[in-house]
Amino acid sequence: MSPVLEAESISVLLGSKTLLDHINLSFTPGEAVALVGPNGAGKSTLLRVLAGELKPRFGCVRLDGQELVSYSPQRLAEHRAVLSQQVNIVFPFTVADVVRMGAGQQRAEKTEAVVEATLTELDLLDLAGHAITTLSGGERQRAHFARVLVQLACGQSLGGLGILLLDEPTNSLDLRHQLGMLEILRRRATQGALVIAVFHDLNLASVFATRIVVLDHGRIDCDGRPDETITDRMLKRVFGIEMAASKATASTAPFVLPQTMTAAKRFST
Amino acid sequence: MTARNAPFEVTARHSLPRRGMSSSAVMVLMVGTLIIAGVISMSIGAAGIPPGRLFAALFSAGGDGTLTARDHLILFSIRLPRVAMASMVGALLAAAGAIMQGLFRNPLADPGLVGVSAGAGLAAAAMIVFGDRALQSSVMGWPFLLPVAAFFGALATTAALYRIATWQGRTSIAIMLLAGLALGALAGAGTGLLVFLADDRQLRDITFWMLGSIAGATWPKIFAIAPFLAGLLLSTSFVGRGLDLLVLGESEAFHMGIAVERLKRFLIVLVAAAAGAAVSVSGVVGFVGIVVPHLLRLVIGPSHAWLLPASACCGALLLLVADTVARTIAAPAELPIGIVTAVVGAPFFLFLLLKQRSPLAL
Repeated sequence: MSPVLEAESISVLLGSKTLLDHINLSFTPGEAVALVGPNGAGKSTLLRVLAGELKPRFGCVRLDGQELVSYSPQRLAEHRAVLSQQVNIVFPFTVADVVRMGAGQQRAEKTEAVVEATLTELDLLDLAGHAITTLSGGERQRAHFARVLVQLACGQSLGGLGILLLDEPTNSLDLRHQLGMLEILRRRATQGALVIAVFHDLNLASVFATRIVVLDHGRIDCDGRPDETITDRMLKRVFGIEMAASKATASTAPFVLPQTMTAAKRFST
Repeated sequence: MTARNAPFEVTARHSLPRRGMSSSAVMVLMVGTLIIAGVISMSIGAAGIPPGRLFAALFSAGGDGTLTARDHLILFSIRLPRVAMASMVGALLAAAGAIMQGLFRNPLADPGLVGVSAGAGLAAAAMIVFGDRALQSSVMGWPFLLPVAAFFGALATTAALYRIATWQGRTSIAIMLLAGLALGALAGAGTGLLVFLADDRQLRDITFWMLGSIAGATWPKIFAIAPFLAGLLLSTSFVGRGLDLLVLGESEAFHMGIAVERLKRFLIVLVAAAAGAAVSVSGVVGFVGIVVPHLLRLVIGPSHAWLLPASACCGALLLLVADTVARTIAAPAELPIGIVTAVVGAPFFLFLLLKQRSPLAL
C-alpha cells in the first residue's frame, strides 16, 4: 500500500539545539503508530511537524504525495485531526459545543448524528450540556478527543485521508477510559485511518500500536512491531535502565514492569 | 480501507442540548428594548417632550405650530443625534470588547482597560494639535480625520499588545493586563505632552473629549463613525466560527482549518476600527466592553456568531441608558458618562477578577 504521510529527511533546530535530525518515516493507512522515547527526544516536535503546524528547517513532509505546505489549513483539516497535549478554554462552551466545533462548516443535519454517536462512544452523553470549564481534567480530555474524532469522521466523509495525530492522548484519563480510548483508536486504524500517537507509557504504547517508533535525541533509534522494539536492549540503550521486557504469551504484546528492574544505572537525560 | 468513508452508521434519536436556541429570541427582545429606550430617552431631558408630542414632532416637517417646531428642533439637533451616537458608541465598544476577549482568550480584555482606547486617544489628540496646524482650520471641523487617526492609534496599540502578550500561540492574562497598563500610561503621557503643545482652542477640543462624553453628538460625527459600525456588524458574521476555534488556542484553530495568522490580523483591525471610531467621537468610555459580553455569555452562551451582534445590541442599550441617566440625574448639570459606566463597570470587573482567581486562569 502506498504511503499517505511521508517525512523526508526532516530536521528541526531551535537555536543551536537540534530537535529533530534527518528523520525519514513513511506511514500507510491502517497503521497504529506509537511514538515513544525519553523526555526531550523530539516526539511532540515530530508530531507537530507531521501536523503541518511546525515547518521543518530542512526536508519536507508529504501528504498523499503532495507537500504539506501546499495544503490550505482548511484542506489540511479535512485530511487530518490533531489532539494536542493540553487545551484550556476559559469561556463556558458546553461539551456539545466543543465537540460540534470538530464538524467544521458542514451542515448541522449531516454532522449531528456523528456528534451524537461520538459522544455516546466516549461516554459523554450525560455531560453534553455541561460547561467544559466545570469538568475534571479527564472529562475535558475526553471532550477534546470527541471533537477530534468528529473532525476525522467529517473529513473522511468529504474524501479526506483520515489521519489522526495525538499527543499523549491518555493523559489524565483513568484506567478504564485509557483502555477505552486505545480501543477506539485501534478501531479507527482497522477502519483504514492512520493513527499516530505519542506515548509516555510503554505498556499503553505496546497495547495500542501495530508499529512503534522509538526516538532518542531527535533521531530514530528503532522502528518496528512492538515485540521488535520494546526489548531489554532498547530499554538500556534509550532509557538507560536495566529492565526486562516480558510477554504473557508468545503472541501478545510485550510489557515492562518497574518491579522487574534490576539496577538503575542512570536515568534518562 | 473499505470502511473508510462510512465510519458512523448512527442516526440521531434525540437532539443534543443547544443553548444557542434562545439567542434569536434574546436578540429580538434587545432590539425591541433598544427602540423603546430610544423613544423614552428622546422624550426626557431639560425640555421634556411627552410621547404624544414626540411623534408629532418626529414626523412633521417642522412647520405646524410653534410648540411642534420647537420640539422638532430639539429632537433633530440635540436628542436624536445624542441617542444615535450613544447607541453607536455603545455598540462599537461592546463589540470591540467581545472580539478582543476572543482574540486574547480571556474575559478581562477591554479596549479601555488595556490601553487601546488610550492609544486611539493619543493619535486623535495628535491629529487635533498637528492636523490643526497643517490644515489651517480646526480639525473638529473635519470629522472624518479624527476617526481615521484614532483607528491607526488603536491599531498600533492592539498589535503591540498582541505581540507582547502572546507567546507561541498562548496568551498570558497577567502579561496582557500589565502590558496594557504600560501602553496606556505611555499613551497617556503622550497625550499629556500634546496638551502642553496645544493652543487654547485645541486644548478645549482635547479636554472636552478626554473626559469621555456623548454630549458633543452631532450629525457629522455620526456619519463619520457609521461606516465603521456598518463594517463591524457585517464582519461579525464571518469571524464567529474562527473566534470560537481560536478560543481553544492558536494551534487548535489551525488544526481545525483556520488560517490563524490571517484571522488574527483581521480581528486586530476590527478591534482597532471599532475602538478607534468610538474613541474619536466620545473619548474614553470604560467598561462597556467588559460588562456586556460577560452578561451575554451567561444568557446566550459563548458562541461568537451570536455573541458579537448581541453584544453590539446590548452595548447600545447600556450606553443609551447610561447617557440618559448621566444627562438627567443631576439636570440641568450633566455627569460625565465615564463616571456612570465606571460606577457600574469597575465593581463588576473586580468581581470577574476574583472569580478568575484560580491557578488555571493566570
